[in-house]
Amino acid sequence: MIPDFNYAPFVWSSYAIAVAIIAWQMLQPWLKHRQVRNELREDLRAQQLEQRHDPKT
Amino acid sequence: MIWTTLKVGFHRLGTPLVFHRLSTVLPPWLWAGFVICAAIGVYQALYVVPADYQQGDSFRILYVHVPAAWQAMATYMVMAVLAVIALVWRIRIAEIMAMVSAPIGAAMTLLCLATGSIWGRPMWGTWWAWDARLTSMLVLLFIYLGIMALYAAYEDHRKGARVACLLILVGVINIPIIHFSVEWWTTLHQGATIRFFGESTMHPSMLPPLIWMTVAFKFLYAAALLGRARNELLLQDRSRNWVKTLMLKAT
Repeated sequence: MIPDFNYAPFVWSSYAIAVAIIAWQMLQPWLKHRQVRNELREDLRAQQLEQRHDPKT
Repeated sequence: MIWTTLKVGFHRLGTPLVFHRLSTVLPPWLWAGFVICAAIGVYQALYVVPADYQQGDSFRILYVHVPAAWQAMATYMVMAVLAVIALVWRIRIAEIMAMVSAPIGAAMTLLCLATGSIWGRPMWGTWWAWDARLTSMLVLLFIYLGIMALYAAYEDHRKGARVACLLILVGVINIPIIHFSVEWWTTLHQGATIRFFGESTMHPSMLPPLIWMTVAFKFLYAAALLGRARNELLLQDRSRNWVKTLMLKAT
């Protein structure tokens, strides 16, 4: 059975806004985590390089 | 015995490593819960539930508008509890969770206001009215934005969080104002149709999708909260050994 979704644009636009806001709530932590992880790895790599080139160590 | 176990569990949750593990493991399950509940809720809202006898199909907006409104207020109450914990016991995880709740609450408030405005156009003939319910909800959005701005304004995260926690506690006054606005003032917005204590004026056949969507929004909040809190914790502890060890293990 195929649903007949002939609702007014008011209904569809409300659901579209909900999908957009919810999608951002789903994506934001994931994207941010990738950015944070890359940043922290870069930091760590830089620290390791510094230690390797430090004559005291 | 139970009290001691609970107390130990509560304090263990406050340790960064345990919290990080928890906030890594739980979100996928919470998102799965959200997707399942939202799929059932949206299907029922758009297809199963009959049209309203007065509003026709426009009333289907209710199934995103009301859960978003409830979640916006629930998020604020959770923030208030976390703010008390953060201020009294100085638990950093509580501070972080209170701070990362603000953008989620702001998003829910924005969704509520946007869908309410769209619903208002065919029902009231206007996109916006300076009605008590609408205005108090707009104030909630401004409070959320204020908390985010205040937290971001401080270089010292902990100091910023403590000041923002005070603002959270001051802003709690707005929650009963939102809730009772339709009773205290003559408003364009309708009164409460769903009551937890007492009889609801909404037809029972229209309730199931609302329940599914409300549960879905709870899952959404919990998943987004843990995901954001994990990122904030990693950023704050970037120079600590546990984060370095974690990054070394991951590479």
